[in-house]
Amino acid sequence: MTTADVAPGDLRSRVGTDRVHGSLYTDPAIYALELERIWYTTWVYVGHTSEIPQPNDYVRKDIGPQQVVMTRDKAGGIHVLHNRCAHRGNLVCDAEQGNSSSFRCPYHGWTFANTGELLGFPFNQGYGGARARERLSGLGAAPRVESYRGFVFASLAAEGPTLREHLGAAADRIDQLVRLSPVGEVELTAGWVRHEVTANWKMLVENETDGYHPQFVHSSIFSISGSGIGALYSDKSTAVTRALGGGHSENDLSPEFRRLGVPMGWAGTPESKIPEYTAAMRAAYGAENGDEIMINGSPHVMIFPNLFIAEIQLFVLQPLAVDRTVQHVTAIQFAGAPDLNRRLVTQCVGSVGPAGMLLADDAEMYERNQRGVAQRRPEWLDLSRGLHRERTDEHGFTIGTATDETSMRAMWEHYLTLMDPS
Amino acid sequence: MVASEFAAVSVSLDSRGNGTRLRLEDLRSGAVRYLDALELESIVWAPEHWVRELLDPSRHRWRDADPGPSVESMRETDPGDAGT
Ligand code: FES
Ligand SMILES: [Fe+2]
Repeated sequence: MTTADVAPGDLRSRVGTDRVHGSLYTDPAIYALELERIWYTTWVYVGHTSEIPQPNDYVRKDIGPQQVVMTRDKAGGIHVLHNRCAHRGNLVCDAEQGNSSSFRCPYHGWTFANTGELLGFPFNQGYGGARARERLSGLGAAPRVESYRGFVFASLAAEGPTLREHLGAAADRIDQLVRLSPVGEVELTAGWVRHEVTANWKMLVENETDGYHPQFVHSSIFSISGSGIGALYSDKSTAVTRALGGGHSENDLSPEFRRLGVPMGWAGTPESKIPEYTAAMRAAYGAENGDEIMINGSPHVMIFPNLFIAEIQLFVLQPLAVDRTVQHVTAIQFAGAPDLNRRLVTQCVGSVGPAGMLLADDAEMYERNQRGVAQRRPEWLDLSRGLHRERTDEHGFTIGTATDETSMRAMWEHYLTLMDPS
Repeated sequence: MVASEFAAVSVSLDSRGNGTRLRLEDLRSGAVRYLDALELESIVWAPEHWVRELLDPSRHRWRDADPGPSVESMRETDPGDAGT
């Protein structure tokens, strides 16, 4: 199948306001079109500056099935390079990370600076001498790379909205996260777990802010851990599901945390366990502001199409095929907060580590869902939950209750603007 | 040892002579080079483009004509240590 198999207009007929067609999760032609129009066009989260802190650091990352290398050059500039030699296309970098001002391809020795520039090649008389550098290619580079608060995004399209335009209100949620550090910086240095599921990537995007499933799927972890979070995902809760625009969405539990009024209550961590952290926060932001930040908590936001910040952990989604998706998961670490960070790592090992319950619960649902939508009848998935009670909040965002499918409807609306821009 | 996925060089101090010098060994080929204090100082002050030019594989190593000056100069310094 090719992308030509998806006729214009086809997609619009498969996405309604209150339902979507099952083929959107299973059709390889639609997936191929998504790679072109979403993953290789829009801003995609690649990595964090804390992963390449020193000049000449590099780390291997992905944009969907594309392998890229995120580098910091000697002057501090950040580049996102395709891992493909300009000679005959061999992979250039193999290590997950390293420090090098240049990369030498193992096949015939072509050598590139970490900016992508071609530095030279062995036996250059075969090309008429060193001057051939000027006509030969360097490594392919993402035409646009920008970062926000240390979060590095790339777009493989030369033109389009700026990163700030793309993030819109989701940028405030990154601010909300970063503010939880007394020095205003997060560090993604706790290491990554790579977890692959046999499911379409949109199953994951939709699930991240689906507040309808936690009471069912995660009831065991909520009961074992004595967490009060489960109860917040109910119709009685003052928490809301909010469409932030641009396909981004959040479960905003902060009204409940404010009602509770306890610093770090959202994390279930009593102040007595993290005295250095709470002191540092009050010293950095002032007693009142510091408390407010610690009461309000961390965001639960899905930044379309691949960055999910889930309070204390961060997920990066990577589609590999129409029915294969990798989640890269790490514990968020806050600069200047060693006592808090130790607790966060422990909590994340329990929730999303290799034996983590939260991740295992969700993964099971993704895979069942993927097999389920391949069945023939009924052809549609229902998206109508809470449509009748959607409201507009004081900032103009569409909101629903904690369990409503407001975020999914907004995701699909944005999906159409990218997939069928006509 | 200073190593990456692209190269591995062992670094040590050599004090068999009347002064200390740095001994660098390319572990993949066995080639060795010594650098004395003044040579090292000069490298510290060399412009960035000088290092970039050295990184061109055709510059001194994989050349079409002569084998390149670097191997010969190493032999002059210490024949016993030259690459095999
Ligand atoms: S393919 Fe990289 S040098 Fe030939
Ligand atoms: Fe879940």
